[in-house]
Amino acid sequence: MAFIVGVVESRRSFLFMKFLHAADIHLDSPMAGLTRRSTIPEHVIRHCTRRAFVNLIDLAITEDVDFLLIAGDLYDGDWRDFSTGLFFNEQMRRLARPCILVRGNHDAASIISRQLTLPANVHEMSARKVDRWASDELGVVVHGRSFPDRHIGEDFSDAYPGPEPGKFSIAMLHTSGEDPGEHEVYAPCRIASLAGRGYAYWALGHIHARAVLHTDPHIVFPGNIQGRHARETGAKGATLVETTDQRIVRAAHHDTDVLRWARIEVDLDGAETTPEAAMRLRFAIEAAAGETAGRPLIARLVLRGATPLHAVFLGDPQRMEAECQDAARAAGADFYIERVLIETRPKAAAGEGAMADLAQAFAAGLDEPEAVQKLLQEFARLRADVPVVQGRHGGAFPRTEEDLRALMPEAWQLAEQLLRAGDSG
Amino acid sequence: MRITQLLLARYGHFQDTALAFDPAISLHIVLGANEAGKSTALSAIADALFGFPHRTQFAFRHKDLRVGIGLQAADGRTGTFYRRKGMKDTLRGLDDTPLPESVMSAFLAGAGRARFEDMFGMDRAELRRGGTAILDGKGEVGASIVQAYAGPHHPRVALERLNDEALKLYGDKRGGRAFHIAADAFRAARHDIEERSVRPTAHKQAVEERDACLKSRADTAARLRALETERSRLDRIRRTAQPRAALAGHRAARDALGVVPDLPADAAKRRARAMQDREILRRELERLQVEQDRDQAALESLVPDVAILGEAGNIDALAADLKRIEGAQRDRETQRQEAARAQARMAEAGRRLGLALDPPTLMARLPDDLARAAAARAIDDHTALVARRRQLDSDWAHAADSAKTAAKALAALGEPESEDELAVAIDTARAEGRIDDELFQAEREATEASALLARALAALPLWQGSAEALAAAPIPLAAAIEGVGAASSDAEAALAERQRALAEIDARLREMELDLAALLAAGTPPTMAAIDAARARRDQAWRLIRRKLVEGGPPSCPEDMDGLPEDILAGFPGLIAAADALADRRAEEAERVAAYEHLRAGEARGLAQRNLARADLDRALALRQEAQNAWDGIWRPAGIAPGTPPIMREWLGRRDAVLADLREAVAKDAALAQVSARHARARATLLMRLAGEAGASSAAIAPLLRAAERRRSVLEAAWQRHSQARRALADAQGALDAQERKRVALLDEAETWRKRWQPLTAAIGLPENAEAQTGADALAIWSEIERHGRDRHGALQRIDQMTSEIGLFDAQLADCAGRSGAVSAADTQAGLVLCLTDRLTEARSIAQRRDTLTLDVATRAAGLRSAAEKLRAAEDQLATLRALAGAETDEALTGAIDRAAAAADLDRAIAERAAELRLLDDGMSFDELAREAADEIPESLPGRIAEIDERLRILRQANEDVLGRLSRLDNEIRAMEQGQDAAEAAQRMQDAAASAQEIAERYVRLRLAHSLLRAGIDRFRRAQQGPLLSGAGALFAALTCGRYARLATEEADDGKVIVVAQRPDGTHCPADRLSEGTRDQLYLALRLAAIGLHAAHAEPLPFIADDLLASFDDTRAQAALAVLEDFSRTTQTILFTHHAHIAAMADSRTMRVHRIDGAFG
Repeated sequence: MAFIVGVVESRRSFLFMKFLHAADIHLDSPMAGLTRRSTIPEHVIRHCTRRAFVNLIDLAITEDVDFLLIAGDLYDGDWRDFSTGLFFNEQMRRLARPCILVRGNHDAASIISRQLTLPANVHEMSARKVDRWASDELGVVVHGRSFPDRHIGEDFSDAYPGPEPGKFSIAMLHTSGEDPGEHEVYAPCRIASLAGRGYAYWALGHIHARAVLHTDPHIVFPGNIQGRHARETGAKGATLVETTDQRIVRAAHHDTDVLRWARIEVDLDGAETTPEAAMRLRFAIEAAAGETAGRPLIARLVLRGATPLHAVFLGDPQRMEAECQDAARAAGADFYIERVLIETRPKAAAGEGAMADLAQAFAAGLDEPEAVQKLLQEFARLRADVPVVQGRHGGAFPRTEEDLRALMPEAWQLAEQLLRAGDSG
Repeated sequence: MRITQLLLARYGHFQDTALAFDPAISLHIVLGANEAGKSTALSAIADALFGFPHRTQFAFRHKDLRVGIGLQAADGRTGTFYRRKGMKDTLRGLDDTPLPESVMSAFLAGAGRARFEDMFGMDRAELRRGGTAILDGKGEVGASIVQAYAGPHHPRVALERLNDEALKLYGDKRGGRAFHIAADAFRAARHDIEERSVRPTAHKQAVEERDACLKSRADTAARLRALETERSRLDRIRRTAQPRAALAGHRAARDALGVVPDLPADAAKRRARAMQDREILRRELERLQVEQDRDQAALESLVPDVAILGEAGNIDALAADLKRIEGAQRDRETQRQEAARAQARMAEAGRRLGLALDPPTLMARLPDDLARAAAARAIDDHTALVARRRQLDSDWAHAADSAKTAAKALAALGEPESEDELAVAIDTARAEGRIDDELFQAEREATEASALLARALAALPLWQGSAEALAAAPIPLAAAIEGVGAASSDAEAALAERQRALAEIDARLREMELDLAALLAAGTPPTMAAIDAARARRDQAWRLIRRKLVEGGPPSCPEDMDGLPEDILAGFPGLIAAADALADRRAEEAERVAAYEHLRAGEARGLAQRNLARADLDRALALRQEAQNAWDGIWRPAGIAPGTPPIMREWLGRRDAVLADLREAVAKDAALAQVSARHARARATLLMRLAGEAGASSAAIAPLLRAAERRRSVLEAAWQRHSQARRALADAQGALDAQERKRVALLDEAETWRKRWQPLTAAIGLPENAEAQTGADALAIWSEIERHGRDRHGALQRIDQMTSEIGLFDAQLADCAGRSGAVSAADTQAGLVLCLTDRLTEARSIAQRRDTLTLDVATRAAGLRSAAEKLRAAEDQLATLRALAGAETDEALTGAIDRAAAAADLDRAIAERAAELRLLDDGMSFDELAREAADEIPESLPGRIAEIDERLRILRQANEDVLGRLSRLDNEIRAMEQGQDAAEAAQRMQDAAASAQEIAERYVRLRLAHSLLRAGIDRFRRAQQGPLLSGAGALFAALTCGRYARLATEEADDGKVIVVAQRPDGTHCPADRLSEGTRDQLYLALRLAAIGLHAAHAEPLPFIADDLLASFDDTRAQAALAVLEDFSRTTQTILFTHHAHIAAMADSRTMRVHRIDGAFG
């Protein structure tokens, strides 16, 4: 006990402080892009974001942090299940130390945020003005502002009051920064401008890939705590910041994710036979399987290169997918295939050889306006039938004659493969 | 184009095999062994024309494949080329110089390898597949035409498969189509989300209800506690009433007894037991003494037989041994017969050794075990030596031959030069890959990137600096540009609007001025103002006249006269007339007046609007200037004087393009530097190892590598040959030496054996020069003698032993009888033994009875002593109790003990009551209980307790209800907190959407492919049907020897157009109903016709036919040869066959048969 007291006292005297910075939790949001054919067991993806959030709280407790920052997008805006908020409250009670959060573009209009009574240890920053949370004991002050609604086009950071004398000053901001990447633009700002504002730490959110934009002062996107689709690859987690005498001595990433996503590109250039392609596939998968850090790995396979097997893949994509699944099973129990993208190209130009004349006649079908209109109308009906998630169509459907022409080579490959397959297939 | 010669220099099994095809000959027939078909010939021709593929099945014998080909174009051009396998420069001239591919392309008329293989090659298998495809396609014209051009493909099957797969994916909602399954799953999951989602209001309501329940439960609990306390108090008074009264009574009785002697608690029991023991013991002593005297007398009357008991052990042993001795007497005779048989066998063996000796002497002459074992080992060693000697002789001769051969081979080779350093240099250079190409490519790309950057930078307006400075310039954020730019545009638009509004107002005013001028040109309009003014002047004049004439006032001041005539009296009528005239004119010119007034009012409004517009314009100008300043301000840090926002947006796009070019240029420069360094290192490394080598001065790596490889191959081959020869010689010499050493060692071993053998012969009774085999025979006989001697000796020993045992038994029996004094009439061993055992049994019985009586007497004596001791102890116990009680007699002792017992009983009762009360007093003392009960009336207590119990029952029931509600609410809230896994449904919804989308994308491709393929086949049919069927019909007629006259089309029952073969009599047969062989002929006719049509607009390639006629009968084959011969006049035809009878049909005038020996497939 005396030892513990000594540690606590020395911690106070040297103003040692630890805090955890996370963002973009998206509690209870689903994993995207998985099809019903996926062979991924339910338990692998079930409650992923919840389990990652539990890992986050475990990390905070294990590291004995002084407080937790959540820089926006705790929930998805259109998610209405109140049990998600109750789960958050339960975790906050388990955390048993301050948690400061701002609402981002996703949870600005969240029905959960509006209805949920937060535990006493949670402080949600105001959406009307730049808010403040401070701890005299720790000598820290945090400024931040929640999104009042989803679409914020102006730079919020201009209104931040700046650091307070004698305090370790932190600013929380949900922003797309200078480079939104694949994300939408919200509350854009200049990194140089943030760096010049005098804050010791800018706790940012919105961009799902971890990025340390600046050091001294630190400007950090911690990334999301759990990858949710095939483009969010690699380790995901939060940033643990340690300070001594109001100076940051360490800001390190810690994993919280419960499964990983990977994009594996398989070069099939020149592969002449299916066994050869399968062998390259297995090499690529086995190489990736070694980097899972003990977590289940869900991979999107992209087959590339010029190969005579291109038409075979197009004609029977499920066969290649089955090969991939076999390779995945061989690679380990915790390796799964999300989807196989066939981006190979034919070895020779489409329609070369004696088929060239037929290929020309095939392509000429698009010169008949009536037939084109009929196809477009059919595809428009199909598009109307495709389910829409969050107001977005995931795929690209041909809407114009140009779209059809762009798809035509692929269609010819399909047709040519079946023509050549004859009665063998 | 025709092939004039084909040279298979290194190809498949072939080496330097040439075929010459004379252009003057129409049809060339190549006759060769089986498996010599199209796969080799067509591939060789295709490889020569179009180059070797990366992988080829014909490189199993030669790694450096090479094919030569001679060509003659239709216009007379000729060419002869070689083709080798490689990555580049594979086309070679006769002098092996590289030739560009365009030289070959000039002969190919644009055809590629695929067209050549699909259209201009046909083997027997394809012919059969083509015929089957016609059957499968049900003779449909479109399918048949496609097959004629592109091979035996299956358009109808392809269309069906595309359609089938598409229909399985999407369509109407029948049949469980994949898309609808996914869509249904999506809707079900969406519904599940709604069902499973917890509503905030429901949770809030449950929490509030639970809080109310908790409060109610707390109130009830407090009331319960108060009632239970009162009930407990009343109950305590009631339940302690009886024990409290009993305790008081016991305490009074005890006090009455006063002081009593301090006796043990069991004093009464101890007194009674001691007196009882004393009486019993006295009677026991008397009984024991009587029994003791009786047993002592019986003991003295029994006398023991000591003599026979002293021999008891010997008599028992003799009786037990009697059966064994009787058996030994019988066995002794059997052993005597066995000894005699062994002796006879020993005598026989001794005679075989030449020794006529009695058995003891013969056993004495038996060699000892060591000698016989040594002799046996020596004989085994001798056998092994003989076998090894034979093997060594053979091995030595073989090794000697090998050593001579290896020595000759090594001598024939010189000392080789090491290739290690050269190999390292080659590997180092080769590790760089295609570094020459990379360097050339990198230089070209770097130059192009720099030029591109320069052009892009020069074309970028508003910027004079470098591209690097442009990249470093602090360009405003896109959001700022958008924000400030929008403000600037808005300000500019607002200014333009204000200017436009002002201009409009000015224009309107100018128009009104013109209108007014026009109106005024006709005179001042009699407006009300003019009338009022005229009337005012009239009235003023009247007031002045009145003041002057009637009131005698002062003269008028000039201001009063303003507008009036100087002679006011004279002018007054004029003023009246003017005013009236104006009023009259106003009535007359009402329209003109109204127009004038309207114009003037409009003018006034316009002027007011102009003032407002000017103010707006000023403000807009100020805002525009402010926005312009802001716009300039955000660009100022970048040092750019910006244009308008649209211009700058375009400028930013062009800037991004320049920066992209800059990044590209920097990357290309870096890549070039890296590749240059690698190239220089590789070249230097190679040059060091190729000094003096031809071609060693090249700036490129590839020639240096080729030179180095050539040199390394030479060195490596020499080194390997020398190494192999050296190793072979060393191995052979080593083997010979080893054999020699083995031979010498074996001779030494033989001599050693001989020396070891000679002394051993005497030991086994043989002469010194006896051979090993003789020794082996002697050893066998000695072993036999030894075995029989051992048997005889054993039998004799057994006889002696049994004789000794019988004698000993007789002696022991006699001694025993003598010592025991037994006298018996029996003269046998058995009779004497029986007499002794009977007497012994009697003696043992008497001794046993004496032992029993002796033990009883001793035991009873101990009992007498014990009883006397216990009697004394009882007397002592009574004396002790009397002393404690202070009593002289046993009767006094009894009274004292009774008083002490009564006092003890009371003390115990008091303790029991007190203990009983402690269980009921709830921790209160006796006095406190008494005080608590003092004010209560005991009879009222049950009624009051019953009343409280009723109230408690009601409250507890209420509490139970609240607890039930609380439990239900807790469960509800817990269930809400845990949720119903709406996230799982969301995941399913997401998955179903992704599936539906994936299915839809696949469906789009399938439908597009199906639609275009169907249209394409139809289009193809329309374009080719007429000429193709016409040409094919003529060929088909020739191939079928006139059985069919031509081909035509007909609409089938299902509406499809099919091919029919028309007979000379006008009847016809659908293509799919032709016989198998005729369908093959039809397919051949269609293909030849397709080639013929192709030849009409492009120079044809040669047609390579592989064993096409193998399944034709002679008539058909003859007809087919004629057709091919005729066809070959326009399109060179080469027919491969391994059937001599086909070749025999060839007409030597127009056909030539080439023979190839050996397999070439």
